[in-house]
Amino acid sequence: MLPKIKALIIIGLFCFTAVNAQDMAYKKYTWETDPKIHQLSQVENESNYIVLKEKIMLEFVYEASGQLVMYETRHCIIHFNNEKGIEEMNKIYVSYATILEEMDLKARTITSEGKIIPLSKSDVKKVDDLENLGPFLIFAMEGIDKGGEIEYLYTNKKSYNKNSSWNLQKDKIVKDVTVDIYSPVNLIYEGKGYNGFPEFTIDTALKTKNHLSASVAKIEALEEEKYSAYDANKMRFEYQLAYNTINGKARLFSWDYLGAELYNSAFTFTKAETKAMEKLVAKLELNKIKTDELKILALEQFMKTTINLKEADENSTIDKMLDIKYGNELCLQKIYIGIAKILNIPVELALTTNRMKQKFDSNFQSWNSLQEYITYFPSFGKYLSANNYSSRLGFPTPQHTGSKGLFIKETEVGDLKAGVSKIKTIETPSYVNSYNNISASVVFSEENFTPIINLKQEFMGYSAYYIQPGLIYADENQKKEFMEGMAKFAGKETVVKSYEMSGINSTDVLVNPLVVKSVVETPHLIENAGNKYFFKVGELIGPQEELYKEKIRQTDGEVTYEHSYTRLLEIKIPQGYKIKNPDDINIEKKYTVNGRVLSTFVSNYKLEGDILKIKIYEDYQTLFIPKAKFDEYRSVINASADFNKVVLILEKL
Amino acid sequence: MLPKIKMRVLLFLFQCSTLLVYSQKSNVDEARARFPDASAIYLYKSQEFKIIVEDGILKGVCKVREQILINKESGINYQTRYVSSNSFVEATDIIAFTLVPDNKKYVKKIVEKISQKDDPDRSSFYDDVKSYSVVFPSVQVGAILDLEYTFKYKEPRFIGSYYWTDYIPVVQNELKISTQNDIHINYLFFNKEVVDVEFTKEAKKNETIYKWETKNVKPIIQYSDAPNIRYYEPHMIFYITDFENNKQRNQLLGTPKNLYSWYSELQKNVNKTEDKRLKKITDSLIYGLTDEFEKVKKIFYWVQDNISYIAIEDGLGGFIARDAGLVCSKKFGDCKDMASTIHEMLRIAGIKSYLTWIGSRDIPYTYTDAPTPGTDNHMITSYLDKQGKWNFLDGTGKNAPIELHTSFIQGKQALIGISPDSFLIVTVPVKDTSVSQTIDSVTIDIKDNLVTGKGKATLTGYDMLDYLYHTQNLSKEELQDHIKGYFSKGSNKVVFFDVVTEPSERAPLKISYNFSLPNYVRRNQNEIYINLNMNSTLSLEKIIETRTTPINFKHRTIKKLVTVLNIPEDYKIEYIPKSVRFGNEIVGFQSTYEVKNNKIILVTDFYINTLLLYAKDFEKYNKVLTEQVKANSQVVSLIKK
Repeated sequence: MLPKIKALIIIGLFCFTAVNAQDMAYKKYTWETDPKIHQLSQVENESNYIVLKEKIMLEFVYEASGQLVMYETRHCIIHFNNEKGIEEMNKIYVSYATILEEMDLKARTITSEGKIIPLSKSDVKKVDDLENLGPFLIFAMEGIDKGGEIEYLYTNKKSYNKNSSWNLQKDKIVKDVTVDIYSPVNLIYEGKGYNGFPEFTIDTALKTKNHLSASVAKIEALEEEKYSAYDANKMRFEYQLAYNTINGKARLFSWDYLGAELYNSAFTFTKAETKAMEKLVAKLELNKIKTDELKILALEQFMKTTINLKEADENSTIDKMLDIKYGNELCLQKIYIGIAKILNIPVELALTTNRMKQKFDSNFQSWNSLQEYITYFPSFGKYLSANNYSSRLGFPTPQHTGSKGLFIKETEVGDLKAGVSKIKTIETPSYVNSYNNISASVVFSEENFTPIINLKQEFMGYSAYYIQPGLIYADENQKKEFMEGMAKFAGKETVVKSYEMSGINSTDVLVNPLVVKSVVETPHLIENAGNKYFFKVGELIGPQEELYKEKIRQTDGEVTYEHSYTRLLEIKIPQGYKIKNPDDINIEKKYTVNGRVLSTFVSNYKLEGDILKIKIYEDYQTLFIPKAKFDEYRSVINASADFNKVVLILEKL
Repeated sequence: MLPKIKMRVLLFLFQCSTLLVYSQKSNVDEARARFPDASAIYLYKSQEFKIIVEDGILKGVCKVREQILINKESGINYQTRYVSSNSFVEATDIIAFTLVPDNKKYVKKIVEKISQKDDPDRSSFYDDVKSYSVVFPSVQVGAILDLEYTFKYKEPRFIGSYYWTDYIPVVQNELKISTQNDIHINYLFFNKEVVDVEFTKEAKKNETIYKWETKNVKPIIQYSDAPNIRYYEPHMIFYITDFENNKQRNQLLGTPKNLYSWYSELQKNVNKTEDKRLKKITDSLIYGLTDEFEKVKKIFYWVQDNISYIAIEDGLGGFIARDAGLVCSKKFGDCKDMASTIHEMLRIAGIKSYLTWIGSRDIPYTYTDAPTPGTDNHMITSYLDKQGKWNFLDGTGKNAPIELHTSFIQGKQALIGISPDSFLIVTVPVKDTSVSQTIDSVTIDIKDNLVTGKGKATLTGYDMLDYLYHTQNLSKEELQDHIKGYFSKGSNKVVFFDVVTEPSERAPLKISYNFSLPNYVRRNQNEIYINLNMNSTLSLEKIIETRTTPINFKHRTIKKLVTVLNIPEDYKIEYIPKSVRFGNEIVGFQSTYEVKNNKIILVTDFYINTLLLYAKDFEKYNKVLTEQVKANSQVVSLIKK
C-alpha cells in the first residue's frame, strides 16, 4: 500500500550504468519445464487448497534513461483438494496499478492426471477498476480438477516503490515462501519481517548489485478469531529504500525528512487559500464561538456536511475545494490546519496505521507505518479524522487510536518556520465517553400479563459511531425503519406502539447522544405454566454474544474501541404476585490485569415496594487483551449473555 | 466517504425549453413544499426515444434528461451520478452542470471531468459494462444537478423499459417514443394502479408520438424481503414489433416466435463439431447404463459437479452459448455454457434435449405477454422423459437432484427450443410445500440445571439445497454458529457437539447432533419448568400495518420440530399446555402435546405455502403469528413426586 502522501523526492537517481537486461534476476528465473503434482501430508489434504509456492522477486534497476523502475516477479503454485478450493481460487487477479510494461505472464493448470493446460493470452482481460481497487489483469484458470494444481509466473515492470508491505499468511497453509529484493549497488533497501517472518539476510558475495533475501519453508494457516486484529497478526514483510550511497550517509526518506516535506505541503498555504479560509472563518463566525474546541467542531460540522471527499486533481487547493464542494484527502487535512493557524489554535498532524491491519513500528523508519492521517489539537487534547465522515472531534477513526504515530508540528526558530516531527502515543477515548445505555420501565397488562415497556436507548461516542452519522442521511422511511428496529431489539415478535428519536441532526453527531424512546409490547417475553408466569427480564438488554472456547487462543485479543453500558430496569410487580427468584439477577465478573480492573459486568437489584429496580453495568476499559488472559476477559463478555438468560418467576401470593 | 447512490435504472430526453421551466424558483418552491422531507427531488426526468429506419437499418436513440434538486444536506450524496453503457447501448454526449443558487438566480457550473471505467456487474467475472462517473461541482442545498446524455442502441431489441418511481420523489416524469409511421411498437404497463399516468398518442404525417407523463410521484418504500422491484414499482416495457424496410415488412419482436427465431439464429453455430474429449467423457459416464433417465442424470450431475460458474460476458458472448467441448476443457462457464454442455453431452449419448431460455423469478414477465429479451436472463436444458414429464436441467444448481429444478425458476415460463423454427412454452411448476421440509427431532433430559439432548434432522428439497449452499465454505467455527442458528435450541448458551452430516448425494440431508443447554430450565422448590418450544429460528415478526409491497419467499416450506422430554424419574407432570392449531391456505402452524411412557412429546410444525405474500393477506399472516407467539410461550411444569 502506498502512503497517501505526495512528496517530491529527489533521491539522486543519477546513474551511470543501466543494468544489462540479461543480468536481471527474472531473466534467469523460470518454472519447471515438466511439472509434477505434489504429494501432500494428511493435514494439508484436509484444507480446501494449499499454496505450495510463493516466490516474490523485486528488482530495482535503472533504465537507460536514468529512471529507477521495479521488476516485480511472482511465482505461485496452488494445490486443490476439492471443488470448494477450486471455486475459491480459480480466478486470478493481478494488480495493474503502476505497471509500466508487462514483461511476461504465464500460467498453467496441471490436472490431477498430470496433464498440462497452458493459459491462453487471449483469456487475460484487463479491467480499469475492479470494485474500486484500481486496474487489474484478470483471468480464470482452465480445466482444474480435484487434486490438480495451478501455477502462474509473471513479471511486470512497474514504477519503483520506495516502500511496501506484503502479507504472506492466510487461512490456508503457504509453503516454500521466498522473497528476494535486488537493487543497484548505490541504493540500499532495508527489509523487516513481522509476526514470525524471518529477518532478511544480505548477500555479501554479490558485488554487482545488492540482494536481500528471506525464506520460510512453511507458514501455518491463521484462522480468524473473534476480538482479534486478524490482518495485523499475519506474517508479513516490509521493505524501505533507506540509503543512496552516492548521496552520502544520510538516511533517505527518514521520518524527519517526511515531517519536513509534509510540513511544506500541509502547513503552508497560497494567498488564495488563506483568503478563502479567512472568508470561511467569517462566514461560520468562528471567532464568536467561545472555546477553541467548539470552533474546530463547528468547522468540522460544516466540512463534513458540505464538502465531499473525492480524489480530485492532485493539485487541488483549498479555495477550489470550497468552491466546488469536494476535495482530495490532503486538502481536507489542510483546511483544519490552516484555519487552526488563523485562529491561533495549536495543531499537529499525525500519521499512523490502522492498527487492526498493521501495527505502527517506531523501530523501523518505513513509510509503511505512515498511512493514515489524524489531526491533533494539543491545547484541548482532542483528535480529529478529517476524511472520515462518521467521525467527529474527540472520536477520530477508532482504529487509528491506541497506538503510536508520527506527529508533525510547526516550530519557529527566529523568523524561520519549519516542521518538526516526533513519535507520540495517540490516546484512545475513554470507555466513559462511549456508551450504550438503556432505561426501561415494565408493567404487565392486567388482561393477559403482556409486558408493556417504556424504553429509552441512548448511544454516545463510539457506541453511536456506526449508527448516528448515517442517520443524518436517512430519509423519513429509513428513520422509521431504524426506530422500529431499535424498538424491537428484545425480539422481532415485539409489537411497537410508538417511537421517537432525538440526536439526529448533523450537529448532534458524536456530540449529543442518539436517543430512541419507544413504547412496546413484548408478548414473547412472558411465558406461563397455568397461573405461574415467567418474565424473561434478561432479554431487556437485547441479544448478547456468547463466546465459546473451542480451541486454544492463537492470537492476542484486540478491540476497536473502549465502551460501557448502563441499564436501569424498573419492573412493576403485578398485584397479588411476588418474584420468587430475584437473586438470579445478581451477577458479577471482572477482568483484572496487575491489580487493575479493566472490564466489569455487574448486575444487582433493589426492591422498593412493588417496584423491582435492576441495575446492570458493564464496561470494557482496554483495547488489548493478552491471549493468556483472554479466558478471564471472555467471562465478562459471557456474563452479559448469562444475564440475558435470567427469567423471573412470578408466583401468586 | 459518503455512500454512493447508484442510478437504479437507466434514465433518459429533453427539450431545451424545459430547462428553464423546471428550474424556475416557483417550481422549486412548490416541489420543496410538497416534499419537505426528501433529501433530493427529481424536478424533471425524461427519456425520449426516436426509432427510425435509416439506410435500411433500424435505429434507436434515446435522449435522457434529469434534473435533481438537492433539498437537504443528506442530498449531497447525489453529487456523483453514473451513466452505464455496454456494447449494445452506447452512452454519448454527456452534458452535466450544476445550477448553484445565488440569491434569486442560479449560477451555472459545468462538470469538467467525466471519467469512464469498466464496471463489471458483481455477478459476472468479466463483462463489457462501462460506466461514466459524473461528479457535479458545488453541490449544496438548493442546487440543481442537470444531466443529459444520449443512448444509442446498437441492438434495437434491447429497447426498452421505464420506471415511474425512484428513490426520491419525481415532480415531472416523461416518456416519449416517436417512431416512423411504418414502425410499430407495443407496450405493457406494470403496477399501473400506483400512479396516475397521462397518455397521449399523436399521429403526424411521418411519425407517431406516444407520450406518457406523471406528476409528483412519491418513492415506494423498499423492504429487504420484498421481491424484485418489477413486482411492485409502476413501470413499462416497450418493444418494436415490426418495421418496413424497402417496402418489406420485417418482424422484430412482438411474438414469442420472433424472439425465438432470433435466439435460435444466435445459437446456430454452437456445437457444430463433436468434441472428441467430450465424447470420451460422455461414453465413460453412461457406460453400462441402459435406462435413459439414468443416463440423463449421470450427465447432468457430471456438469453440475465439474463445471464451475464463471461468467465472462462480452458483447454477443453474453447471449451465445459456448461450445460444449470448450466449456468442458476449461471446466468453467456461465449458465448458457452449462446448458450447451448438458445438451451436447446428451446428444452424444443419443438422447434428445432442448436448449431453453427462461427468466429468474426476479422478472415477473411472461413470454406470452412480453416476448422480449428482457423477459429472460437465464439458460437451461430441458428434457422430456418417457413419462411425458419435462425436466429442467440447470447446470448452475449445485447438489440438486434432477427432479428439483432451481428454486428461482419456479412458476416461470420456459422457452424450449425444439428445432431451429419451432419451440414450446412450458411453465415450470412451483414445488409443493411438502417437497422442502426441515424435520428436527430431539430427545432431551434434564439433569440439575442442564438440558442435554440428542437431535436428528432431515432436510429435503430446497431446504436441503439452502443448507448446503450456506454451509459449503464455512470454517469449523462458522459452521458451529450456523448450526446454532439453524437448529437453535433455547438460547445461545447451547453448545452443539458430535455433529455428523451423513454423506448423501442429492438425497435428503441427515444431520445428527448432541447438545447441552445450561440455564434453560427453571427450578422453584420442588418444581421444574421447561418450555419445550426451543427453536426460535422462525421469524415471527409481524408485518407492519403501513406496508403495501409483497413479501417474497424463495420456496414453499414446512418446518417440523419434534421435542421429546424424558420426565426425570422422581418427577411427575403438574401442567402441560393445550395443543393448538391455527392457519389458513397461506401460512399456519400446529403445536401438539402428548404424554406417552413417561415422556412428553411436543410436535410443532409451521408451513409457508406461497412464494409471494401480498398485502391483502398480511392480516391473515399476522394473526397466525400472534397465535404462534402465544403457543410458544406455553411452559411445561413438573413437580416432585
